[in-house]
Amino acid sequence: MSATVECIVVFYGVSKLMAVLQAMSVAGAAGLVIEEKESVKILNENEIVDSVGQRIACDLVFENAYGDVIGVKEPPAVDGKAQPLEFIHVNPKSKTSLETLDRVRQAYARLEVLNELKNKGYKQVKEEKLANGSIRLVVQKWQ
Amino acid sequence: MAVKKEITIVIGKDGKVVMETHGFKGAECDEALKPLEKAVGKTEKRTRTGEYYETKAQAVRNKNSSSK
Repeated sequence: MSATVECIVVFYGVSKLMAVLQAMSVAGAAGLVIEEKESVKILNENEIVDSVGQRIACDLVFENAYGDVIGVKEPPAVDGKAQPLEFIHVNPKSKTSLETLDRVRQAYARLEVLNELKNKGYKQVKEEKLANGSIRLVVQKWQ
Repeated sequence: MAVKKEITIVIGKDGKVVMETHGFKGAECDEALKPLEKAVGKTEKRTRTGEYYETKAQAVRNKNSSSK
C-alpha cells in the first residue's frame, strides 16, 4: 500500500443524481445489484409537503419502496462554485427514508468511481459485497 | 517492464469511501487518487506509507536486490 484516502460522498448537480436514481429504479441497470426493497421511483413532482405541513419547492422528488418521499434541492452557486444538493425527507424520522439515502450515496460513489477509473484505463477485476453491507472493488492496470 | 498498479475501493453503506493504491510510487499515488476524490466529493483523511516516499529508482534497486 502506498497511499490511502478517506472520502465522503457529496452530491453536486441534479443530473448526476438523476442518473443514479434511474439506475436504482431498474434492477441490474449499470451493474447495480438492487433488491426490490432498495429500489426507488422518480416522481413527476416539483414540491413536497414536509412533516410540519410546509410546501417546499424541489428540483427532484423520489420515493423509495416503503413509500417514503424525499425531495432534492439544488442551491444556487456561491461565487461561481456549485453547492452540495440538499435532501429533504418528508418524514425525517423514518429509518427507511434515511437508509434509502445511504444506499443512493453508495450507488452514486460506485458509479462515479468506476466511470472515472474506466476512463483512466483500469480494468475491474473484483467486486464483492462485504458482510457489513460495504461494496469492495478492485481495479488494475499494467504500466 | 510493466508494473501492476492496483486500487482497492471500499464504499461503505453510509457512503464513506476508502481508496488504497498498491504498486504506485510517490506522486503517482496522488495523480491516481485525485480524480477519484473529486468524483466522490470531499476528502476527509489522507495517509501515506513508506512506499509513497520511495522514488522509482529506489523501487527498481530494491526489486533488483531482493531478486538476487
